[in-house]
Amino acid sequence: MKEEMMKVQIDDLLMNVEKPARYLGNEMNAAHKEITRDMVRFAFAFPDTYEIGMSHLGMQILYHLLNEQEDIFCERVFSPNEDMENLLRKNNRSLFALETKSPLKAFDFIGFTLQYELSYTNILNILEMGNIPLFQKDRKEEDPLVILGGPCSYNPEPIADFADIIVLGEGEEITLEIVNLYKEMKKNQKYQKSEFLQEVSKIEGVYVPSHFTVEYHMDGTVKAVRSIEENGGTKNLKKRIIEDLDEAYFPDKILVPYIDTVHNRVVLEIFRGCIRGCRFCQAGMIYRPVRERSLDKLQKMAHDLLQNTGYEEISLASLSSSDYTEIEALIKHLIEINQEDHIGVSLPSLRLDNFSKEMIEEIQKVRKTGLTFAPEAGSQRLRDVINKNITEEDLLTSAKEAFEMGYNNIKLYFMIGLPTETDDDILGIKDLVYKVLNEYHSVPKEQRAGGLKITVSTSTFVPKAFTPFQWEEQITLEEIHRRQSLLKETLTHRSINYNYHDGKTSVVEGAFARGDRRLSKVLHRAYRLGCKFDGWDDRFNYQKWMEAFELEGLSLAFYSHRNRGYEELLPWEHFDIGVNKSFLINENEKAKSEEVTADCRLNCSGCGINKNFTTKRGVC
Amino acid sequence: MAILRGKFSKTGEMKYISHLDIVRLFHRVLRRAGINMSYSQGFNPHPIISFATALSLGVESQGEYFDLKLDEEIPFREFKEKVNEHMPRGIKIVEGKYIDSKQDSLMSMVEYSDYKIALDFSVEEMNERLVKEWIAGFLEQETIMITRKKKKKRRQRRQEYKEVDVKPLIKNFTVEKVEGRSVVFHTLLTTGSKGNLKPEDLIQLFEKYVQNQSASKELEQPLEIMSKRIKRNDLYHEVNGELKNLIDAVR
Repeated sequence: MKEEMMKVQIDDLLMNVEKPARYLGNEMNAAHKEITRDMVRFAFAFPDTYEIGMSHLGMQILYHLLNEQEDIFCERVFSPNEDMENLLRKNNRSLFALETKSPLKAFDFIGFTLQYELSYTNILNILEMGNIPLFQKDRKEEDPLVILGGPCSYNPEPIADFADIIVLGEGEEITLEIVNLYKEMKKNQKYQKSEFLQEVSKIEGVYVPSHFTVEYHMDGTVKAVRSIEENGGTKNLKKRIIEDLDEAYFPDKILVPYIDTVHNRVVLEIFRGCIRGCRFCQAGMIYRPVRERSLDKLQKMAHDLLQNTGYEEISLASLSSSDYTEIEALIKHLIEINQEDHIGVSLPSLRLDNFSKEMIEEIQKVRKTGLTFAPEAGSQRLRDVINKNITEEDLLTSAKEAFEMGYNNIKLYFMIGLPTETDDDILGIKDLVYKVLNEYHSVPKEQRAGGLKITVSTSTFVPKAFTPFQWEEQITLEEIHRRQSLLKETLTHRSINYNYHDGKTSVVEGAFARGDRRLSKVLHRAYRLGCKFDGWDDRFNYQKWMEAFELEGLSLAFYSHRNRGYEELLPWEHFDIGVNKSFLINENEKAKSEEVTADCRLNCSGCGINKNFTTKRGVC
Repeated sequence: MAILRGKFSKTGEMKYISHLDIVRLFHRVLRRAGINMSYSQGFNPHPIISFATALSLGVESQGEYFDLKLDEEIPFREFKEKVNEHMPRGIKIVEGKYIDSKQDSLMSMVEYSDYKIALDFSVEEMNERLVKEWIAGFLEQETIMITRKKKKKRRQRRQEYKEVDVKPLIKNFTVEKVEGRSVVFHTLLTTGSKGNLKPEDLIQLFEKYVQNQSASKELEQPLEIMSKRIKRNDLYHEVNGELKNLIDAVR
């Protein structure tokens, strides 16, 4: 639908960069099409390295979905690594899409997936390296349309100034609706950007940020979000979901990279949503309701994907795989594949108490790595606050069983800085870890494996939009450091290894997770100061971020370290994720009184999702 | 049980795929092609396939080899067709032969690599006579020393280096063609367990030699290599004083 442009020449650069295979674009199952005049060209951009982007299942789904349409050609774009970026900039060459090496300007759409807040500067970098004006208001008729989606688009305000279109919810259906509308308007010669944005905003789940203005109170909180369009409103700003996963599109092949990536295997997505309702977890809220794929469908998917990729390994993806209703049958099937076809099976950590003894032994046959547990908090009190329904007994029993079976490697994940957390809770982490250690020593020497390794990792709690903790303050940097040191000083045993993230990234992530539209300017400023790859500890620059906030006259503490009241209009409240605000308030109150909420299968807690959406093969 | 020795080419963009990634690519392609591979025992079974010698990133080749263990023999023509259908463009199985299971491994059989090297120099018109003189002079040196990293001993932190004379490893080094700034060389280098010289290292040594030569003659502009293209023609094993490629050597 656009004039064809000269391809970007990179042959002379490839020998001067690390892992040139990142830029070839001809991997197994990559799409190759002849470019025609009436083809819609879509660049799927992942704002991180090739190795991370290629591990993302969502990209694989949308890539093949779009490419199965005759007159759409979807190509991939990743953030170039530093060496390639420097060479492209030095030689004045545009960033390109992998398949055809076309410059980004040759595309009708550039679609970004928002996987984590700290990737936002990479989005600006990709646009700039593609010679596309960063701010939406500066882009011309012939510039590509910038479309954003993914988990962070449930609060897209901090990046709204850069987007033409933001997609709320699951992308399989809505992406095609948007592209098809564009195609029709172009074909009938009715296309004009403003007209298109008008029309596309009528699709449920489409947010056109330039159609809305935000007003603020004197204290900086949001006063109102208003549509500036005639007949405009917020009624369409409701997330989209796939009602029936068995019927939903899923490719029978996926791209197979040449180089090693983070998840280099077939991944079966077994269900969406989560029954657990952990109060800190954004995924657990935004991906509601629970919808499962049938066992039959999964078996067929496994067969096709392995056949069409030649992959040597398969694993499962979901928020909590043990909760799949037919998990035992599914695992049996995977073990059969393992035995018959020499395919490695990498199983996620499963709650072993759900399984028979024989099943556990079967699982151990194929499990290669150690065990992972995520109690998230060190004390039962705090686990009740966050509604993580895992008891000390569960954990210790499972750990002991694992040690008895000869495992000597166990990983434990916790969060620090959770609401109501005290030093006692932090020391509770230490106590729990030492109890696990004691379980190991209680197994007779001849039965257990030597060389025990317990890895304890803490991440810092970041309150997220649309969770029961969305009103809570995040602890300050000083406090993060203090609590990390407190734990570090007590975890001194030689078998224990304690890892933690620098808190500086967490507080910036916190600001963007619950930020408003004014943060677009901070983001732009930080990018101009040189911030990039902020999710990478070695490249994150806290000083520059602080400078960016200061130069824009905004305070990080206002966004990250402030307690919000229920009456405050939150910057994301014009979006509807199907979970009622009253439910989130109720959950927050229950957290304060340390009351737990049962999982969705045991007892419906009335979050509202089943009234707002209909689904098949789910819980609701 | 059967062992197939295959020869393949690796050209075009495939030269950017590293040796390790080629191994993984073969596993996946063979599985997709439905080849009845034998697997190793244990928790983490993998196909039993071995390769002759690693090719540096950026080097093309007409002569790479693998030994693959199969559950049972299938006609090579069928194997070749099935596998090539699933190979990415740039990798092609060209020749094959079932070999005896007691046959020496590919890795131990490799003795020489044959390369074609095309270099573009910074001087617009290269003089063939001069290039030939340089080569003669380069090879007439008493020794051709190269600095190599020493293997680190256990717990050793600091990298140590050693000087090695690679002159005995250069079996042949000649000019094939001179055209403008570009010169095509042919070389035969010792490869494998008895000594190893990479063509990139040879080029670097030669460039240094030439620069020293021209510096003494006060050439107007310094002579530099602007770009290089290397292609491996084949891998050889010596049988009764004759060089044979790794399939012919077992005929």
